[in-house]
Amino acid sequence: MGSRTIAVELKGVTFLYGREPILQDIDLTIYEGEYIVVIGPNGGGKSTFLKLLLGLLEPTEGKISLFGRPPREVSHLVGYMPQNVHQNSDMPLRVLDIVLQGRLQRGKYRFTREDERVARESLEMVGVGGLAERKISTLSGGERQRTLLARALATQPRMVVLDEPTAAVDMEGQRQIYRLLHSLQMTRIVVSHDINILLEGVDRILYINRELVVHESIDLDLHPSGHFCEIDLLQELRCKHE
Amino acid sequence: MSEFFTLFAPSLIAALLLSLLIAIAGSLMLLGRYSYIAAAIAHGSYGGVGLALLLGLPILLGTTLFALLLALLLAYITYRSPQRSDLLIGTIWAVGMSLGILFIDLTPGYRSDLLGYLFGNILLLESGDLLFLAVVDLLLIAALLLYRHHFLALAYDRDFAQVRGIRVGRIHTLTILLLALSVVASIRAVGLILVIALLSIPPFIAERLSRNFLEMVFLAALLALLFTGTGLFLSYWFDLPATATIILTAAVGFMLFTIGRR
Ligand SMILES: Nc1ncnc2c1ncn2[C@@H]1O[C@H](COP(=O)(O)OP(=O)(O)OP(=O)(O)O)[C@@H](O)[C@H]1O
Ligand SMILES: [Mg+2]
Repeated sequence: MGSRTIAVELKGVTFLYGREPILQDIDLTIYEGEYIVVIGPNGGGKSTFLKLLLGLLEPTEGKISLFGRPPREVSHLVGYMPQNVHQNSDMPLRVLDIVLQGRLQRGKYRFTREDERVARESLEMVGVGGLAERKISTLSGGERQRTLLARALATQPRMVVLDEPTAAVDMEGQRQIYRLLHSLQMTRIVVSHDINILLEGVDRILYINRELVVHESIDLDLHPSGHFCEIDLLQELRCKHE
Repeated sequence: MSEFFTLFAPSLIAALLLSLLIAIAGSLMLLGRYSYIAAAIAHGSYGGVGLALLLGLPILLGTTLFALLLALLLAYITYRSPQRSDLLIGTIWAVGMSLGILFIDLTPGYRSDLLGYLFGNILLLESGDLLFLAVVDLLLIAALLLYRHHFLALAYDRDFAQVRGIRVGRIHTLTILLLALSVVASIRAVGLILVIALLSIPPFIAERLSRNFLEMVFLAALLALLFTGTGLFLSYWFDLPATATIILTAAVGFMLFTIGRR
């Protein structure tokens, strides 16, 4: 992999919430175009890891670079989908308005027709094109999640960072989204608790659980390498394959 | 009836200007969940009233500067951890009011008009007050036209806005500064204590009936005008204190709306 461009690099990264260590001494390189799935138990630090990559949190120790720069300077190149949004109950926003937020930039004050076209196209891509004019507060959980995914895609990013994009999505929707993720060429970092996501074209899997840090495996679905012997979840997965 | 209009002409202009202010500032406050911060600024500004008296400054000037200072302080405190700053906000609120009481006590002489800053009187506005309201209205309109997508993006999902490269800290600070100006501009009309209620009710109702932000602002302005107009008229007709009647009218409107929605 030596000659490939680096998308994300972590060197000796440690992160503490107050005094509680969440991630410790992580070294990791992610290359452009890779499809990475992040797994691990609740509270393991997956969302924290993503926020560090995006510059939403600063590492307590160590250094993170995104496309060779400090994350805060280039995070606009990333399509981010948070795990959840604590929205007011009745915000006067349509689904389209939410997706258009993906087109917002520093110093940009109005949206163009092109922005709207991209936003509608993103909604189509995740299967909710028909919801564009609905008020966001009237959506179901899965519909809202697809909207947030569309918003991430509408940024036309160089990389997507998705925090459990299918947690509330129905089976057919999940399949559709996995297929979509598989077909994208850009760097993809996706947190998931759904084992099915591992079946489609994933390059590497990160297992994040606090101090257990990050385990890596390459082409797991092709060559189960034994790196993950201690991880039950993946044992199960391998059983499925064999 | 025509006597009502001649007598109340300045108050009606004030009501108009105030309604616009309520609609924009109130909507920003409600969507971004800035109510507590705005309330802290409103009450804390009493320190500015006291300080102005003590130093012999024009009261509105002193209060404005003091409120802007509080706004900057609050913006700084709440930027990093918006959720965990309740206690600090509450403290600033109380310290501001206490300073006001202290400074006024230290100032020789007794000022009977101070109650006016607590409860306001929309019937006693002077042309300077109206001008102040108009200027703040213009600032609010400009901010709304320029930054409305940014305000909304922050209100809906601050993390995402930051990832997009929006200068979240600046928008946050701008919002709080605008709220501070709005509060001070409406003090003479509605008073420190009542202003938050009037900023909250029309946008709250409007939010529930609107599909987009501009619609919400527009509807909030109409509602604010309805409440202030009705309040003024009732106060004239039944010889009641105007500002209190306006607030109570808004409260009744709010109750009717809530019941009607069930
Ligand atoms: N703002 C915060 N302050 C203090 N602790 C926090 C904060 N946010 C998260 N934590 C803690 O950090 C740990 C890691 O949280 P994180 O959200 O990264 O977990 P996760 O792996 O994404 O879990 P899940 O699968 O439930 O989404 C958890 O124990 C959580 O309680
Ligand atoms: Mg998480």
